This record gives sequence, structure tokens and C-alpha cells, in this order.
Amino acid sequence: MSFDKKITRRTFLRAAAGSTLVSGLAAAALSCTAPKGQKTAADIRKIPTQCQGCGANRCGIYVYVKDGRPWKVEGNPGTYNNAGTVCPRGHAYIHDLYNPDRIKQPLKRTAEGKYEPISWEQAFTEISTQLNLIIMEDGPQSVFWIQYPMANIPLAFRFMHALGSPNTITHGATCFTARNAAFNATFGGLPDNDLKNSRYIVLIGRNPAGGVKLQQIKDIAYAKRHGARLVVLDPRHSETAVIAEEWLPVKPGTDLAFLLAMINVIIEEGLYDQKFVEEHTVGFDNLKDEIVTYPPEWAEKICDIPKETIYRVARDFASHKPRALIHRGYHGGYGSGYYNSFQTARAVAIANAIIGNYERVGGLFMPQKPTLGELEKGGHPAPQIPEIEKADGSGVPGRYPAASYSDGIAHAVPELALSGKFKAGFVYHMNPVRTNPNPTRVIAGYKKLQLLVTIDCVMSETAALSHYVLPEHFFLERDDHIDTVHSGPIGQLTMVQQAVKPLHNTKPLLDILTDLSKGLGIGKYFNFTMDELNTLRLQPFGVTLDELKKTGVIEVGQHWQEGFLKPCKTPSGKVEIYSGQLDSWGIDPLPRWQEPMVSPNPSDKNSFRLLHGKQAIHSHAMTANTPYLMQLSAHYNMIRMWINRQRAEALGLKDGDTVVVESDIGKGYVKVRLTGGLHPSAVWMPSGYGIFSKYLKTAYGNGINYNDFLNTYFDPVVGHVMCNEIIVRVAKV
Amino acid sequence: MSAPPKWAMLIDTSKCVGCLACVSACQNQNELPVTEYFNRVEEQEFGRFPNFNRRFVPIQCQHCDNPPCVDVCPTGASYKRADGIVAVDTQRCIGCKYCILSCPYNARNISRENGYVHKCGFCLDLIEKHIQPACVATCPTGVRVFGDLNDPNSELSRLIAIKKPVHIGKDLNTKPSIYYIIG
Amino acid sequence: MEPPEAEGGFPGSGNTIVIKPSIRKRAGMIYWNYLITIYLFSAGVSAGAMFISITAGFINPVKYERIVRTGAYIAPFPIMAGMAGLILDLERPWQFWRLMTTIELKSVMSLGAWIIALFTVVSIIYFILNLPKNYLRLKTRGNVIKAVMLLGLILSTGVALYTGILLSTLTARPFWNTPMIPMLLFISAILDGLAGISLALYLKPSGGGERAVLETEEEINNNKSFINTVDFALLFLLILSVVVFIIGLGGSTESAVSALGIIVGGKYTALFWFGFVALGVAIPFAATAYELFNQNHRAWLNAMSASFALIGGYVVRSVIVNAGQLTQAVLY
Ligand SMILES: Nc1nc2c(c(=O)[nH]1)N[C@H]1C(S)=C(S)[C@@H](COP(=O)(O)OP(=O)(O)OC[C@H]3O[C@@H](n4cnc5c(=O)[nH]c(N)nc54)[C@H](O)[C@@H]3O)O[C@H]1N2
Ligand SMILES: Nc1nc2c(c(=O)[nH]1)N[C@H]1C(S)=C(S)[C@@H](COP(=O)(O)OP(=O)(O)OC[C@H]3O[C@@H](n4cnc5c(=O)[nH]c(N)nc54)[C@H](O)[C@@H]3O)O[C@H]1N2
Ligand code: SF4
Ligand code: SF4
Ligand code: SF4
Ligand code: SF4
Ligand code: SF4
Ligand SMILES: [Mo]
Repeated sequence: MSFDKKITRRTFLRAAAGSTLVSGLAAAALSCTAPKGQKTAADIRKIPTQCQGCGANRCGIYVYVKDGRPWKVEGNPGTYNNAGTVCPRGHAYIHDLYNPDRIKQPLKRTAEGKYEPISWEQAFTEISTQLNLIIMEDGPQSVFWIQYPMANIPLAFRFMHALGSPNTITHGATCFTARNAAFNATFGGLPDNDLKNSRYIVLIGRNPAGGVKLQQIKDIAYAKRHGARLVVLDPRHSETAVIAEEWLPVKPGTDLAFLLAMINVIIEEGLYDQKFVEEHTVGFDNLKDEIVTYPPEWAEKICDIPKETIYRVARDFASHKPRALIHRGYHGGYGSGYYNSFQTARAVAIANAIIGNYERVGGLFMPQKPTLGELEKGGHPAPQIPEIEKADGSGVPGRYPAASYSDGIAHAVPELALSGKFKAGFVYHMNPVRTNPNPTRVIAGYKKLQLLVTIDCVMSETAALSHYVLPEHFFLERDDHIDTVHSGPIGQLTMVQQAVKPLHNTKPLLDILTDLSKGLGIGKYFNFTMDELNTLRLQPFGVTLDELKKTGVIEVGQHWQEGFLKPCKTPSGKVEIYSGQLDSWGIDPLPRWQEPMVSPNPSDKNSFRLLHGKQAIHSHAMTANTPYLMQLSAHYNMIRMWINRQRAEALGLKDGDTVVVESDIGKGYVKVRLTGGLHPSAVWMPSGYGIFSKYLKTAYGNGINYNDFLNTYFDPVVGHVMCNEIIVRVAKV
Repeated sequence: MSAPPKWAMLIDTSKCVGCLACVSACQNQNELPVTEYFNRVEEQEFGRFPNFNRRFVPIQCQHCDNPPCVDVCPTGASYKRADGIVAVDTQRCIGCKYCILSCPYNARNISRENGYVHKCGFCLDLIEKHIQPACVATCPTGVRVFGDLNDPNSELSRLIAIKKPVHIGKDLNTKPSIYYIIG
Repeated sequence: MEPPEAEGGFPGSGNTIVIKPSIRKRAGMIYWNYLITIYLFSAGVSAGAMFISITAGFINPVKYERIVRTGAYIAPFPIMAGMAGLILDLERPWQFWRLMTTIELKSVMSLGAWIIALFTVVSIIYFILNLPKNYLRLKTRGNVIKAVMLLGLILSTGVALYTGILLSTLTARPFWNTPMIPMLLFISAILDGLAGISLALYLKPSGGGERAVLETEEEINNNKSFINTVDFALLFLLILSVVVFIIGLGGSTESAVSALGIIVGGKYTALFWFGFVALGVAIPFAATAYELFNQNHRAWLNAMSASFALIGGYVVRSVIVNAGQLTQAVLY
């Protein structure tokens, strides 16, 4: 019996593409938990859609609906971000369809701070009336929209632009903007990593096994099978370090020193790709002049990695060129962590560039993002993009010139509300009150707004202080805007597709915006259905919406090809090692060593840097209320703060003891996990807990969160949160 | 027609990142309630900072060829199938829990709702249709390889021949169908 | 295609979601609770009472009439309570009948269920045979009676051994997986039976029946010295078994050593050493020795040492049942 041979990708795909109705063949089977011989027939449908268990990946999945009930999830083998696999959240999240904490109809805040159900009509009328008044008085720029950039974000942009406000904001400043800005400055965009074909992979504060991206962890496993070496630079023995050849427990916040020393070795020993550097980069000589001051002998004292190791890693890395890469990173290491994160990310970009791995197999490459069809083509002209500057200063010379205009600065909202610049706001698919620094301040800011409308599925912390809460369909109940998030070496189109009929009196975003826009006088911009919209979006590709709905993913455009084929979108068109543009903005044009902004007191045995990170079973702050996942947290005792064993013992701590954690703005209690897998200078807190919205009954009261301890900072380059610049005192209770 | 199948699995712990996707996938596949699991992932730590390492070990029913759980079952509800799968005839199970205590791998559960014992059944419904078990399909790093031991050409048989995996709890003479690479 | 209507509610436990405290490994979950302890204990008392009664009956039905009859009166009842405990412990008690429609030769529990069922039947017959108006016939020892007694002896030995074998054959649980467990539980069962008889004698010294025969001081002393002698010997053996059990675990595999930890410095240390060793063994042993060597039979001393022995018998089973479930064979 040739079992293995039959499970090939091709046969699987054929089965998947054939029909979405699989009842009958799947129905009759002997279950091992069923009585011997008893067969049960069931109506099973298999619907391709996107997982919404985290905003980041939106994996292509098939949802099985068995007798009307979402049963299980399978990975779509064709989608880039997950390539057939599903993470634990993806499996568990479908059950939140039935989560008792879901919002079942629009809610309005009463004078006593309670929420009363209202009709959609009432909600639309009241919101648009109030919004019209605010716009009349303070102008459209006093209205903002904040959201995690899901596929629906063009709808939000359209809505805001129609109103005349430029203030669309994402979570970016709390996540990755330092990295994005640095790669933009260097490559003119954010390249992806060809991990699969790489033979030497360095991860710096990136943990795809915990901060899950399935494709990356899958490709790393593949590369390792083919002989790749994996080196993980992380103060914590991350889940990816578990499968790495080497774990380098760097002192947090000092990766820049390590990278400068690496670059130093590569240049001093002539290990770089001379041809690539000459042809495709600018400013190498400036770097060469400066880098001599950063030898490994200098770096080891700063970053706690022995110089021999730095020499070895630098040489190995360079010797595998061009099939070697330093992962572009995400959040943990230098996404928005430190004062020096922007320059750290610049150093990552440059270390990659000088070994010539850009646009090379096994190196970095620019993803092939397809451009979706325009709505104009269907007679729906786009509103003018307002010419007003963004209130948060992103992309504004003299303020945060390197900040991303489209992401904005999320945690500036409370300040802007307190100062009266923002009067009204929409929060969609985001929970800034829990995911932005310093909750006291965030609450004060958002409360100051005259009108706050949150569109969510549950009563998040943010929803729980909004004037109106509009419940969106759960993802299994709706169709969303076509998405290009899966584009990597080839463009891919995917979408969220309805799997079951809505359970409650909820609406999808487009319907909410359409109805709202009528009362706001911008109805002409929202006069299409989701199907009409998506059909127009698909027009350039010669595929139909039905085809996409059947397969869940369609590949479009050309496959990525090796080679420096297009100029970079930098001012010089080349890879900018030295950036004149940064220089003109008064920012270091070359990465130079910078200390982190704050550091723990080495002579105080209670003083630690507070780090945080993802666990594979939770998304940010949104899955703590998913019972299946929270049960895993409890079962595996995961709601604990990591602390270095030696340091813990010096504080008289045992595994499982409760400690008090205190920073200058926050205080909390949490259990500790003693481990040898953490740099002594830091404690590490899983970032998925600490829910304080009482409406979220499964999550409420379990654990604490790093944002409780984080001051409000704006890094001077892009205005990110600097979320690892936290010093806490840890003591036994 | 070659020999009838003998299902088995190879688990390479050196690849496991402890993500628990297999646990979650299994719960869905078997429609388990929130607090019940057919599989789990144990974690071990070694050494002190900075010479430190840890390891994740996924564990589930080992489908023993010499299954103590079958031996102890007073009603014959637990039985061994010709294809190697150890199954429970839930109708016959009285819920005495003797088999749970007899299993060295702690692989058996009481169904709180139904009172019978249930456990990993190697996703029989799926494998009968030539689909990988749920835990195998979802694993991002390829920790788990499932297949037919009686088919010398299966990837499983080939890997077992090359990698020389071991059994866990092998002193117990349970003769598991799950092979491990403990790395 | 139209999407289906969504049906059903949150899986599992209605709408309330329980977050249970963490359990890293599933080992250490208690599946068998006090009901099983009661079952093992009462089976022990019944088997022990029957065993002593029949043994005494074989030796001298006249001299030890009180022991014989008290034992016979006790035997059928605890085991019935025990069976009730076992059935209540089943997750599907109404399916109990399945135990009695199958014989699984490899399953100790299946065999045990049958042995216990037979034992219960025989113990009831034996009980009837020992009723006052029948006892005379017993003394004549016809073949049928002898056969019942022999059967009773075998079955009570079986039941007394069974409870230990039920546990000791599980290689999965190092605390149980030693031949000393059946040994310990067997001796303890006989002791418990004896203690039951002894307590009954004290609580109801006249014992019922043909008063004329039984009421002399000498009769009482006879019975008591039988009890004390057996008690002394068995307690001595029990002490030996405990020592061998502990040395055995301590000198064995990694799993066994960690299993031993539970009663040496672990969760059940206090209960084991005070509840069982001190209360259930040492004190009765001292009391028995005192009585035996001073030929000084005090009812209260007897009653106390019997009660303590019974408590110890329950405690040791409780410790064994629980500790065993907390231990696991080291797998890798
Ligand atoms: N399970 C899960 N997966 C997710 C998400 C989720 O919420 N849950 N969210 C997605 C999103 S939006 C993001 S941004 C990514 C985040 O993905 P990652 O950035 O990979 O994840 P983090 O857990 O934030 O951080 C990774 C590691 O950075 C380490 N770190 C902290 N400080 C330093 C330092 O100074 N130097 C170095 N070298 N390392 C440091 C931490 O110890 C941690 O192990 O994950 C994505 N995937
Ligand atoms: N506490 C904490 N804060 C963090 C992080 C963290 O891990 N923990 N990580 C940082 C990083 S890397 C990032 S990217 C940001 C992310 O910041 P956020 O995007 O604010 O984080 P989430 O917790 O994912 O919030 C998503 C919100 O969307 C809602 N939601 C989910 N599905 C739907 C839907 O279908 N429709 C609608 N309308 N709403 C939906 C959820 O209920 C939740 O309230 O947070 C940053 N800050
Ligand atoms: S990574 Fe997990 S939660 Fe996120 S989209 Fe993919 S399957 Fe869903
Ligand atoms: S899915 Fe794979 S990597 Fe994740 S815990 Fe399970 S076996 Fe390990
Ligand atoms: S692992 Fe346990 S449940 Fe599975 S066959 Fe072996 S003894 Fe039975
Ligand atoms: S619980 Fe069920 S399957 Fe297990 S031994 Fe008892 S009757 Fe057999
Ligand atoms: S084979 Fe199936 S039942 Fe067994 S652990 Fe894997 S998913 Fe669960
Ligand atoms: Mo993020």
C-alpha cells in the first residue's frame, strides 16, 4: 500500500479545487472514538478562506463545516504564508464563532458607563449626526481611523479620504516601523527572505516559531534538511533557538554592536561581494572608513558575545554568500524595541547587502506584489487624497520624516486627543488600549474623544470605553476585500470567504461603511457590493471571483527572478549603504554605535530589563479570550515571566513563585519560570496576557502585560514605541 | 497486492519547536472539548546559562504492539487492530480507568461528556482516505512522519532504516508503533 | 453556493469555560479516588475476615467458635460496600453488567471481578452456614461444608491477593510495579479482617449463639490469644514487607527511586509514616506484643489496636492508590 505517494501536493490540490462540497466521501468513516463498526453520516463542506487568528499572516485555510458547525481547519497548500500548515491559533480560533463573549448587536454607552443594545439604524443616525457636527466644527482632520492593516484597509482609506481626513493609522509604530524605515532607506522597500534556499541563516530577535509565520519556520526546516546552519541571536532561548545550530544569548539592546563587528570582519578581511558592492551600492567607502572602529574586540564587551564567536559567525556568513542571510526581522529584536533599533535594522540591511545577497536565491528578494484593479473602472471614482499633513507627524519633515505615512504613529493618538487635535475616531480590528504603551494614558486619551466608535467582534478594552460599538461579522460569516498578503516570489490573491450564515445581528465592514456614508454625505463612494468590488479588483488578472472562491488562492503575474533587474526605489536607485537622505534629515547616514536609552542597574540585584514576546498559541492581546488557547496556557503553565535562574536564586525565588514587577509607571504580580535560557540582565514576559476588559471572561485577570510598564516614548527617527526600553524591579512577594 | 498496512509514526524531536499546533489540530479533528487532549508536548531544559538547551517531545498513544491498556481492559473494549492501531470500542467501555493507569505514556483520557475512555486513534477516518493525520499535516517543521511500516518504499520505512530511531519507554516492553529521534 | 446555517454552541462545557491549574504532564492526575480506596479496603476486610474465620475453623471449630462465627458474619458485607464503591467509581456505572458478561483472561480486573463475585456468593453461603441454628452442622464438618470452606479459603486468598496484583502488574506506575505491593496488601488484608473480628468481639463480647458454650472466661481468652498470636506474626511480616518494599524501590530504576520520593520527603510522607506505619503498624504491634507476652487481655487495648490497624489499613491503601497514580515510568 503506497500511502505516502498518494498524498502529494498535486492530488491534494486537485481534490481541493474540484469541489467545495465533500459530503458523502468524508461522511462515512469509522471513528476511533466511535463504537466499533458504527458509521455516521454527516454533511461536510470544505470552504477555502483566510484564517483571521492573527492579522499578520492571514493564512490560506480550508474550513470544514460539518452539519452546519465549523469543525476543523486545514492549511491551503498553495498559499505562501503557510504552505499547507496551520498554527495552533488557526485551529482554535474558529470556535470563537460561538464565543459567548461575542457582541451580538450594536451597543451604545450609557451615562453610567453601561452598554445598551441599539438598532443599526439608531447607531448609524447618531454616529453620523455627531460626526457631521464634529467635522463642521473642527474639520475632517480631527477624525482618525486606526486599524491593524487587514485586507479591508482600502475600504477604511476610502472612507477617510472621502471624509477629507488623512489620519489613517495602523499598529505599525508598536510593531515594526523601525525595521521598515531602515530597509526603505537602504533598499527602497522591504525585501523578503529566501530562507528555503539559504545555507546560512542568522535570526536576530526573530522567532518565527513563536511569532509565527509558518512559511518561514517551514522553510527554515527545509533549509536545515539541506544542510543550512541556523544561528539565533536572542537574549532568550527562543523556540526557534531550540532547532538552531547555535544560540547566541546577546545582551538585549546591543545587537547593533554585534552587527557592526560582523560588518567590520567582513570588510577588514575582504569577505564581501566586491562586484555587487561596486555595481549596486552607494557609500561603501564611507562605511569602510568608519567600520574600523568596531572590531569584535570592541563589540564583545558590549554585547556579551565572545569575539571568537563574532569572527566565526561573520566569516561563515560571508563564506556562504550569496546563499546566506540575516533575516529581515520583525518585532522582537529591532522592530520597535530600542532607541537604536532603526540603526540596528540599518546594520542588518547593510550586512546583507555587502555580501551581495540582494535579489539572489537564498538571500533577500523583493516580493512580487500584484496591483489590484481600480474601482474607477466600474464607475466608482476614488475620493481625493487629502493634502493635509498627518496629525501624528509621520512623513512630515522636521517631525518624523522617516516614519511611514501609511502607518502613522498609533500611540500618538492619546496625545492628539488630549491636545484636542483629534475629536473623533474609529477603531477597527485593533485594540490600542491594550496593545499600546501605558494604558492609563491611552485610556485618558481615548476617553477625551467626543466620539469613539469601535468595530470589533468582542468587547475589547478599547470597545469597552467607546461611545458606540459596532459588531462585525466573525470572519467565518463574511467575505472580505481581496488580499495580496501572500505575495512572495509570485503574486497571490486570497480572500476571506463566508463559511456559515451570521449568527447574530452583526454586519461586515463594507455594509457598516456604506450605511454610515449615507448620513455623512459621502454615499456616492460606497455604492457597490463586496462581490462587485472584488470583481473589479480581479479585472486585471483575467480570473473570476468564482475561481478565487473555489480555490482560495490564485497566482498572478511573473515569478520572481534572480538578479538586480530593477533599480531600487531609493533616491540613487541603488542600495544605499550611506544614505544621503537620512543625512539631510539629520539622522546618522551610516549606522554608528548607540547605547540603548535605558539600562538596568548592574549593581542592583532587583533591576532588570523587561522583554516580551509571542507564544505560538496567542496573538497579541486578542486570543487570550479564546478558550481552547487559554486552556493551553493554563495546561502548559505558560502565563509565567521568564527569569535567569542564577539571578532568580539570588532573589530567593523558586520556580512558580509570584513576584512583584514594578517600573516607574506600573506594578503587577506574576509567576516566574526559572530558566538557564535567558540573559541575566533581562526578564521576559509572554505578551499575550493581561486582559483587563471584564467583558472578556476567559481572558480577564490572567497574567500581566509589558505595556503596563512601558512609558510613552517616541523614537526620534520614526516615532516607534521603543517597547524594550523598560527597566523594572523584580522582587519576591 | 502487498502486505496489509501497519501504521506507524516517526517523531523527530530535534525539529520540534513546541508550537502546539498538533495539539490544537487534534482537538478539532476529534471534536474534543476544551480541556481534553489526545496528544501533548513535553519540555525539557538542560544546562545553565549560557550553555543551555531545551527540547520538546510530542507524545501521544504509541499504538503499542504489546499494549498494556488492552491487556488490562476487563470488558474487551480496548483492542488492537490488524493494522496496528489500538482502538477503543466506546460502547463497551465501562469507564473503569484501569487502562488509563496502565498506559506508561499517559495517552488515554476520559471523555467527560460521555464517560468512556478515548485516545489518539491515528486519525483513522483520515488515513483510510489517504490523508495524513491532523497532527502530521499541521506540523510546520515536519517533526512527524506517518506511514505504512509494511511498505518498504514508504517515506516512513526509509527514514526508519536510515535514522535508526528508538522507542521511548522501551524497557517497558510495550513495543510502540511510534519511533523517536531524540535530538 | 449558499453557506449553511451555523448550528450548535460552544463546544464542551456549555458556556462556562474552566481554566484549570496547570499540569505539565498528564502523569499525576488522579483517576482513581477514595471510592477505589474504599473498594480495596473493604475487599481486604472481607477477604481477611473470611480467611481467618475459615483457618480458625479448620484448626478447631469448637475452641475458636467466636472467631469463626464473627468472621463469617463480617465477610459478606464490606465487600458489597466495596463493590458499590467500584461501581460508583465507573464513569458509566450503568454499564457495570459488562464486567460480568466478559472474561478477559489477561485482565486482572476482569478476573478480580469474577473472583469477587464468586467470593461474595460463597461468603453468603458461609454466612448462612454459620447462623446459630446451622453452626452445629458446621462443627460436624460434612464434605459439603468442607468444600465450601476450602473454596472460601481459596477465594479469600484470591481476593486478598487480587487488590495488590491489580496494581502491581502495571509497569506504567513504578510505585505499584513491585511484588511487594500484593504482599503488603495481602498481609494487610488478613490483618484488617482480624482487626474487624477482634473489634466485633470487643463490641459484642457475648457473640450471640449458644451462650452456654461460649461464655466462659477461658473461651474468650482462647479466642483472644489466637487473635494476638496471628496478629503478632502478621504485623511482624508486614513490617518486613514495608522494609523490603522501600529498599526495593530505592535500589531499583530511576523511575522507582523517584516514586519512592512520594513517601520519603514527598506528598504522602506524613500520611504514610504517621497514618500507616505509626498508627496502623507500630502501635498495634506494641499493643499485641504487650498482651501476648503478659497474657494480659484488656478489651480496650484490643479494641484500640484493632481500630488503629483498620485505620492503618485504609490509610496504606489510600497512600498506595494515590501515590501510584502520581508516578510515571521515565520514558526518554
Ligand atoms: N503566535 C503569534 N505569532 C505572531 C504574532 C502573534 O501575535 N502571535 N504576531 C505577528 C506579528 S504582528 C509580529 S510583529 C511577529 C513578531 O515576531 P517576532 O519579532 O519574531 O516575535 P517576538 O516574540 O516579538 O520577538 C522575538 C524575539 O525577540 C527577542 N528579543 C527581545 N529583545 C531583543 C534584543 O534586544 N535583541 C535580540 N536579538 N532579540 C531580542 C525576544 O526574546 C523574542 O524571543 O509575529 C507575528 N506572528
Ligand atoms: N499587549 C500586547 N501589545 C502589543 C503586542 C502584544 O503582543 N501584546 N504586540 C505588538 C505588535 S507586534 C502588534 S502588531 C500590535 C497589534 O496590535 P492590535 O492589532 O491592537 O492587536 P490585537 O490584539 O491583534 O487586536 C486585534 C483586535 O481586533 C479584533 N478582531 C479580531 N477579529 C476581528 C474581526 O474579524 N473584525 C473586527 N472588526 N475586529 C476583529 C480583536 O477582537 C482585537 O480587539 O500590538 C503591539 N502591542
Ligand atoms: S499564523 Fe496562525 S493564526 Fe495567523 S493566520 Fe496563520 S493560522 Fe491563523
Ligand atoms: S506541530 Fe510540530 S513543531 Fe509544533 S509542537 Fe507539534 S510536533 Fe512540535
Ligand atoms: S500508548 Fe498507552 S494507550 Fe497507547 S497502546 Fe500503548 S499502552 Fe495503550
Ligand atoms: S476504561 Fe474502558 S477501555 Fe479502559 S479498561 Fe476500563 S473498560 Fe476498558
Ligand atoms: S494521529 Fe490524529 S488522533 Fe492521533 S494525535 Fe495525531 S491528530 Fe490526534
Ligand atoms: Mo506586529
